[in-house]
Amino acid sequence: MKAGKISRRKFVIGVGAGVVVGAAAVAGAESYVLIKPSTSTNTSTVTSTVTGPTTTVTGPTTTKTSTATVTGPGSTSTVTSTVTGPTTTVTTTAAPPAPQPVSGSDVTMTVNGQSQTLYVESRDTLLDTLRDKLGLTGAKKACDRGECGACTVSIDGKPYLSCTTLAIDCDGRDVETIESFANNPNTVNILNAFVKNDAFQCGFCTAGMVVATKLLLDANPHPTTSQTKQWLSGNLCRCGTYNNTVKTALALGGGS
Amino acid sequence: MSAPFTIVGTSPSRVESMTKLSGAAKFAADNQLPGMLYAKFLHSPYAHATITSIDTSAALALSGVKAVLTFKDVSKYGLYGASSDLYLLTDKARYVGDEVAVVAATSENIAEDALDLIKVQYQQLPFYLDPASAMASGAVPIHPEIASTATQNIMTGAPLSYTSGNITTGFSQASKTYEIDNFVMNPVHHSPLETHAAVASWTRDGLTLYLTTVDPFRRRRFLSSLLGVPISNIRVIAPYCGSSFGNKGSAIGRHDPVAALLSKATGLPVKLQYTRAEEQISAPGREKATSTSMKVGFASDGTITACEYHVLGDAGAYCMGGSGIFLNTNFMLPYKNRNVLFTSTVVYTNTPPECMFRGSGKEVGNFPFQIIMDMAAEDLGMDVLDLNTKNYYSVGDKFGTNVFNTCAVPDCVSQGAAKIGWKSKRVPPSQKTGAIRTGIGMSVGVRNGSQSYSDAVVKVECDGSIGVINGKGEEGQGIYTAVAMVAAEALNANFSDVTVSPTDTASQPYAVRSGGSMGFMSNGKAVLLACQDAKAKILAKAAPMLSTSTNTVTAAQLSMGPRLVYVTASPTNSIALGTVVGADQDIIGVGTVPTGGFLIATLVNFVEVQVDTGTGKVTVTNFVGANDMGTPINPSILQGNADGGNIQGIGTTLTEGRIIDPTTGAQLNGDFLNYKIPTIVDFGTMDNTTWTSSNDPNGPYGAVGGMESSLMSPTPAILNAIYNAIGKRITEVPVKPSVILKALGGS
Repeated sequence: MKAGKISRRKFVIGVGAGVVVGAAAVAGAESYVLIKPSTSTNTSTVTSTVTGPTTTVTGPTTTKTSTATVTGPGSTSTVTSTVTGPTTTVTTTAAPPAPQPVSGSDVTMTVNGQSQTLYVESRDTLLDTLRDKLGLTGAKKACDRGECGACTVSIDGKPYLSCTTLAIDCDGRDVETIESFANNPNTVNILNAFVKNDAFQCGFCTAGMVVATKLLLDANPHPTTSQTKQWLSGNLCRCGTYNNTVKTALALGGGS
Repeated sequence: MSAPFTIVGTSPSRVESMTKLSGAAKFAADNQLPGMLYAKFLHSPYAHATITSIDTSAALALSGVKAVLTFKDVSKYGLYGASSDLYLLTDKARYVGDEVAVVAATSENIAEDALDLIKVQYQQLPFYLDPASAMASGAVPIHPEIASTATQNIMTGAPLSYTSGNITTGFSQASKTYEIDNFVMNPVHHSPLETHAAVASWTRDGLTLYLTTVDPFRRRRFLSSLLGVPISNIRVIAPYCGSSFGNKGSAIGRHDPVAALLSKATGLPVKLQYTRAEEQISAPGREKATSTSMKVGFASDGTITACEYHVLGDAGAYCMGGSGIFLNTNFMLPYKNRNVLFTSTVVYTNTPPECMFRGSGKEVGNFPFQIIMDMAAEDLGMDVLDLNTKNYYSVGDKFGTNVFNTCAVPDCVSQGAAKIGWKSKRVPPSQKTGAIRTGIGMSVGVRNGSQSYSDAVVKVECDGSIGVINGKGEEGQGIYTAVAMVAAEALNANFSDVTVSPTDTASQPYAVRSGGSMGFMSNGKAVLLACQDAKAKILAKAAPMLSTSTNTVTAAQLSMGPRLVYVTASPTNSIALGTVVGADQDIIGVGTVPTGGFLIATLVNFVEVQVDTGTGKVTVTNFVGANDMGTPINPSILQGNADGGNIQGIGTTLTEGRIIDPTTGAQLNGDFLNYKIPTIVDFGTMDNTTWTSSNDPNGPYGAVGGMESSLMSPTPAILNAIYNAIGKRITEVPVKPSVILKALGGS
């Protein structure tokens, strides 16, 4: 599993670059390079280049079209066993050099209308920051690599996968999570429509679905079935509540 | 359905709606305890290897690391799991990803950093990625500690078999025999959105676990025997589970006992949450890795005379669903023919662990069987609808002393066929032309099961509100809402007056897990019995209160209404329910459902597909379900659940499937990018609004559980539709485009 898991440290030093590229494509709202792949093992080297928002909002596109590399467990294994007889190969997984200190910085962001200043490590994702430091556990960690949409939050009014957005990149930005929806008259009707249409089952993808649907309606107040499906195609629901989710968005848009 | 219902049959919103929609619902990993540590597993990079040395000193020296456990630290804890084949940690890696050590540190980042500092020396062993090689002569035992498996790696030591009637006689009565040599089900995964997680806090008061599980009560028993503490000293809090479909429902997983031991070792709470890759690979999930040969005999009128089949199953490195899973292939019960022979040979391999997935193995038999039905119907010149109807038991038929109460196959078949337009669309494949071909197919899926022991308590408060205390957790199946509806119906209460307590083993009596389609059938019935118990006490207490010196009424003459008890013949003669209960008192009712019973759930699926003969891509364009689960308690929730199972069926048939590297044994697609569960754009229209209203008197208000059946039929229905489109029998799932192109190769 070691090779299959992208640890935050490796993520930052560039091993996870393929995933980050995929995530940037998924987020869709901005064309930016979160991480510059580096051959250095110095984890304090973090280069974040945010090129600014584009004017085209295409919504969370399906992750199925991305082309990230397969990083299966053990794929770095260099020794092949054989079934034809006992082997005596002894393999040691050598320990790499000790981890280096990690850099960090204070960031100030608006979260659900409140200004928050907090120290984050350069490798901290926005999702972990929301959940672990701000106690906002509505956004869920289901894949942690930009493939499922359960962590979708609004940043400056656009959908972002908070698991592949670094907290340090959110300085000065406006973050909205599901926790702001129930007490906001502009969004509570969205929650009510999800309830009325039974558009959730276990509830684990729900925060991401609701936030994505809200941002769909912001961008397109009267979506068609096909536009709704296209927009939500990056939000996975294993319970398969999709039909009722479409119904909800259409109802909110005044369609049938 | 004779009794008129007030609440049952309507679709009130789920009781936990706003808790979930607002983001307030606490799933296991959402719990943050003061001083909490984070734990991470180290996984084996080798498919089969003995650990010759393990050095954790550098990891322990890293600032922030509080504990590292290896097999040396937990060696006193023995084998466990449904098949007793799992150690807490292991000195022998049995698949790529096997858990060999665990770290607890002050942050997740530090725990991950520490994993890199653990030095492990492995001595590799030959590894086996399929049953045939694991059974070969001279194969190294994967579980040498389990003596019965020492030769050939067969789980139970030898193949298991089941017989009914006499297949020799049966086949001699057949005029035609149809068979499938080798129906291959490649392994798929439940892929719940929530990964396995545990937050453990072991204090002087005992062990508390916030756990993602659909089996909190039985789980305590396994933890108790592992950790040496009384069951009553283990508290599992599991109100919401981010779906399971089987992989969080059994005696499975290392995450919670290991988190508990880390908490004990450090004196601090510990959170252990699987990553997505860990969920897809190490969390039990592999199922349906089987190859099946099946032969069915038919009389000339289409009556089945005999069925013989043999299953070779892959248990993976640990078979956490238990060996019974493949015995469950005895799906034949609902068929009238009783001349059956089947064998199952389940073999350990060096692949990820296995457990049941929405159907408990019955689909292993149903998939090839329903394809054979399609083959037979074509050859015998019958409509497959008639062939199915002819061979099933139906409502009212008896099996021994049991009665088929909810097996309305004829109704489901005819209603579904009408809805999808079967007669006009069922054009034989020989008449299909063009690069894109359409097809239509169907399959019946009937699941037989039982109820299982469950308790419930209902508490009527002094303001007339009602609390339901039942330990069945909410995982999306709608159980909180369903039991609240049962309570409101039983006590003639307002639905909004009922509150369901979140799952917590410390304050609730035993409730059976989700599994075997037993949940609502058992827990819903326990709640109904508890309500009836409470109601009897309420009416008995109210009778003297409503009596006068001239008019004595008995309990039998009273009824309940919303927060009210009244004389049935004279409704204005009433008293507030709260007054009957009495200020600062309550009235409780208790209900217990024993294990047993005879549960039948019937789901019939009709599917239209489009096959691109150029690319091999199959698209499900239309899907219709016609289903019988007894009384539909909440039709909206039922529709959602059936949709969900059917969508999983589309994914597991067409796009999912584990990919194992044959040179290393490593799973290559432990992620959602490459393990493709269906997205919202991956299927066409779907209709699961047809429910017959059979009535099973054993179930709560005539209902049965049975959402496992929603995964029993989509696969054969799709495969039969593909045949109807291109005239080729596909006998391997998932049906990747390459399978279609290979089948089309000659034409």
